Amino acid sequence: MEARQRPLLKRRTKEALTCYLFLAPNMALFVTFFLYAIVSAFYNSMTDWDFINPTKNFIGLQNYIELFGDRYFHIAMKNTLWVTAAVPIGLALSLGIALIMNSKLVKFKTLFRTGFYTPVVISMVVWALIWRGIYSIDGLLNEVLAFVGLPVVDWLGNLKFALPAVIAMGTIKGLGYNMVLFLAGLQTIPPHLYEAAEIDGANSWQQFWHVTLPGLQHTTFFISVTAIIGSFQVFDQIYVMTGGGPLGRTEVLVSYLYYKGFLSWEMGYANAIGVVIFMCVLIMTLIQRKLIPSGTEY
Amino acid sequence: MKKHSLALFVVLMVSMLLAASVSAAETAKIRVWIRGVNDVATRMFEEEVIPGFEKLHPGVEVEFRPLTFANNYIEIDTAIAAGNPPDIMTLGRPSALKYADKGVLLDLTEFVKSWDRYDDFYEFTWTDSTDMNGRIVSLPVWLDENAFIYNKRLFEEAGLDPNAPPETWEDLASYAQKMTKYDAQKRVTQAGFKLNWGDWMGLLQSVAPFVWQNGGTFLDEKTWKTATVDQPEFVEGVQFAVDLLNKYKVDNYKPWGEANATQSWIKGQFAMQVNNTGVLRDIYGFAPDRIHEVGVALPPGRKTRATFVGGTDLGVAKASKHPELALEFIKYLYTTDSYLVRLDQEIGWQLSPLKSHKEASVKALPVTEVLYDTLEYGKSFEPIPENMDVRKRTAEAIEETIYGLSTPEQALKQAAKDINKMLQKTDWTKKF
Amino acid sequence: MLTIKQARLLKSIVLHLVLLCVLVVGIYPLLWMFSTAFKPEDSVSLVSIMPTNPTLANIRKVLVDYPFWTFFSNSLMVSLGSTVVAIILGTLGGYALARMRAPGLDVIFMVLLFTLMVPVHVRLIPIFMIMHKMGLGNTLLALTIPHIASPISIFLSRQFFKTIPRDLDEAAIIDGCSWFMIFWRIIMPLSKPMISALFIVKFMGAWNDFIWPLMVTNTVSKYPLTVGLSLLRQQHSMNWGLNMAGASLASIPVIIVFLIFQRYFISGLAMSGMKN
Repeated sequence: MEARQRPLLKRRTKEALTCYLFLAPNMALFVTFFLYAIVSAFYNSMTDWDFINPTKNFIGLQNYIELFGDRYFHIAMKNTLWVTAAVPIGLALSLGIALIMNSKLVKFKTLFRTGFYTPVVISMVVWALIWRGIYSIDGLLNEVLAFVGLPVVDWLGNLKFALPAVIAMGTIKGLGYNMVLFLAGLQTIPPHLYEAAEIDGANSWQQFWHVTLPGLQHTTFFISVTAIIGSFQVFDQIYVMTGGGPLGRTEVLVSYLYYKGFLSWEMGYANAIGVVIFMCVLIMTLIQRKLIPSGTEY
Repeated sequence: MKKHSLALFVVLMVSMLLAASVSAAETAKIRVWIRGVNDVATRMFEEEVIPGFEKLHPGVEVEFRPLTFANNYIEIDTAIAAGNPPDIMTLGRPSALKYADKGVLLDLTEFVKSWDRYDDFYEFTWTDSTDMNGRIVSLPVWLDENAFIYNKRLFEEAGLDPNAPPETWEDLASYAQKMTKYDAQKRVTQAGFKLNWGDWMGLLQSVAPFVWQNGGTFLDEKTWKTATVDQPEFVEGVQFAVDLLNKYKVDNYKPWGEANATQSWIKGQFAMQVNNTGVLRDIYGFAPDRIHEVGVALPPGRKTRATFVGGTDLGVAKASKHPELALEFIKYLYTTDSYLVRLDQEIGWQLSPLKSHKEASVKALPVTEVLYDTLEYGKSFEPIPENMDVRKRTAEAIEETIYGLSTPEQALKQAAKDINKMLQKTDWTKKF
Repeated sequence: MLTIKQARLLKSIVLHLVLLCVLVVGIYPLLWMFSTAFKPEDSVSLVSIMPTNPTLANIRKVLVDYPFWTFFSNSLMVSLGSTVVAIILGTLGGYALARMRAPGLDVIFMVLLFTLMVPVHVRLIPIFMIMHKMGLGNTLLALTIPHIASPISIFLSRQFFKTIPRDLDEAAIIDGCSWFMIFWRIIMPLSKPMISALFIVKFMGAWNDFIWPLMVTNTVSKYPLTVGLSLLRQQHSMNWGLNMAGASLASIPVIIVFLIFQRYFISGLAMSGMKN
């Protein structure tokens, strides 16, 4: 008995060692760039580190207390939450397009899909630069408005419209991405479910409500989590299109973090903003988890 | 055989190491980072200035690096944060004091005071380079002045004398209105007077001259500890700038503006503007056939004339290993006359801070004469490390007024309160 | 009354029109970008997509006066390098998690799930400092390494490998194959679609990244394309022709690659979505 167990044990040990070996580079990277980085962000957020000088003094929660009363932070937070609030609109639009694309009546599907998806592969910097032109006072959007007799607006210089304009062009860029995911989700719904629903006399609205939506549960969960996390990380388009203006109307958390850390030399404070972003994403993800009672299994 | 080759190898390595350390001891290296230099200026540094200096100082190696205007601060900041700043670096005139405040810059007072060129600098330049404790922390190298630029052709078209630019606010407002044109959607197609937008700095540089012309200041200029942006002179100046936009409608307000000032001028999209001299240089470069249409004049005034003077300073890093060589290099750059003058022209028709350079400058570029005359009315940033924060908060108040969210009085009163609160927090004496 | 056939036709037309509208909104901006690249500086129209007096001056200026090829090769090296290494490490790790037994794997997997949720921006400043401490500030390596640390590649590989039947590798074990050989000879060849999908996701992520290179690079010679484009914008002024020439040149390679490999783009995307 003993003689047979030993090679097995040895094999087990060898397997475990190989396993660790395969995982080692990954773990080294995760420990450095995730765990250490997060711990370091938390620690730095409690210091008065200014970036220029290496000295850091521990100041406890003072940065967070200051954040609490910082008017500009409130503005950035509010604007970021607006970006998040617009996520469902983007999802609804992409779902709508996916439903149309899934229809048997639609021809040239590949062509449409390619067209919708092309903006996704372009970098946000380029996309934002283009839309800066479109939103300009003598840009395309205003030409169209003037043509139909509506008043023209300096979209990115307008207190009311700047943020919606920035959000809209981001939504348009993401449509193709979400649409493809929804389309893939739609195709996993077994056709016999629809047939059964039809036999039960369900109209197309009821079919959508009782068959399509439940069938897309996992897809929706994935897309919305991704989109919400993304909404807290908006930066490129702000940097290119508005610089946070007019009057802070498009300042978001990440652009404020960048300003505080690298331009205003308040790295400790900037780290505190980073930690807040982290907490927001964590909370949002947990809420999502609770809302969609998912069979999401790993 | 094997043993021999091993020994040979060891000897070779040791001698190489020795050679390396000896040569390292002999050559001292200084690093010089200069922002905003174009190809011609870069070549001038690499082919003339540096070889010339190295010839005078055998064994010294100068490493030159041109920086872009867009990213020069990040580049310098990260080098400082990494503990490896260049020996000599360019800093924007308003921000040098901020670096000094963080203890990055070498105190140049001794050097400057004992330098025979001290009196050759325009006096006001020293005020801007001196911190609250009376130490000189940077040297002005180029003055970047905002000039009053106008389009003579548009003056003629509007029936105005192209050789009589506006002298007063009233002139400015009425001329501007005469030269403003709109399209069917009420968009301004030809701005009578173009305010220089862009970010908040551009906005301030456009509005601040009106404030100064009216006798206003940002801070109490004796103590530099109290905001005066809520004083009547200041408020009135802001009101006039806002009126140009909202009442006389001589331009559309464009934050984060996207107009190419040079192209706009060439296309005749604005009649008058106060802008930095780089624009002037570009017009001369891009449209040599239209130079006769360019008018350059003293800025208009009210109680006094005034315009904004910024520019570039040189700072020496406290962490420099060879501060004496860095100072030698600076002396060389300033005193070998032709360099600074020629660089001025390449870098954007900026002005030399040395009085003795004026003649050569004007001879090379006659149009700069009026710019030198304007220097007399130049005002700069407040000589405190927080000057950017003071101005940013003020710009916000001005923008609130432009958008009609508040009156200039209210907005500036709140700004003054915030600025005072901020300035109370700082204690200049503790830092050194 | 419409017949059923007519109703279907009408519905079909309406659906096509809706799709066409969406298509125009997505594609017109790109057409405008390409056409503006050919507009001479003094006659840039912010509206039309037909350039009058088309010129190659903008494109020439971007290619000659700006270090475009440096930006391009920086972007290519960083994206390619980080993607390849991330995939090698990620598949190895995913394989270990999916197939092998060792104490503590649960903990490692939990750590992995946690890292998936961490937004990059909380880590930016610490990673910036790590890179500087390692003496890598302002190097292409500093641009590359953070993209290699990629929980998504290890996670997706694990999920995919779990779907590959175990019979195959058990047979191989009996034949005396090492773990690595099973991974290399059996698992990898079966995972080509997953790997191509992963490749595209990672590559695009690195190619389009902006804020990280903006922070960590500070000399023109180290800029990737996204940051390099900002050099075309001068202070307070905007030369649309020049900017759009740069934007077009930066986008054309991506669009071409997309058009050729779009099958992989789209199936890969669907897969990364489904597996969650």
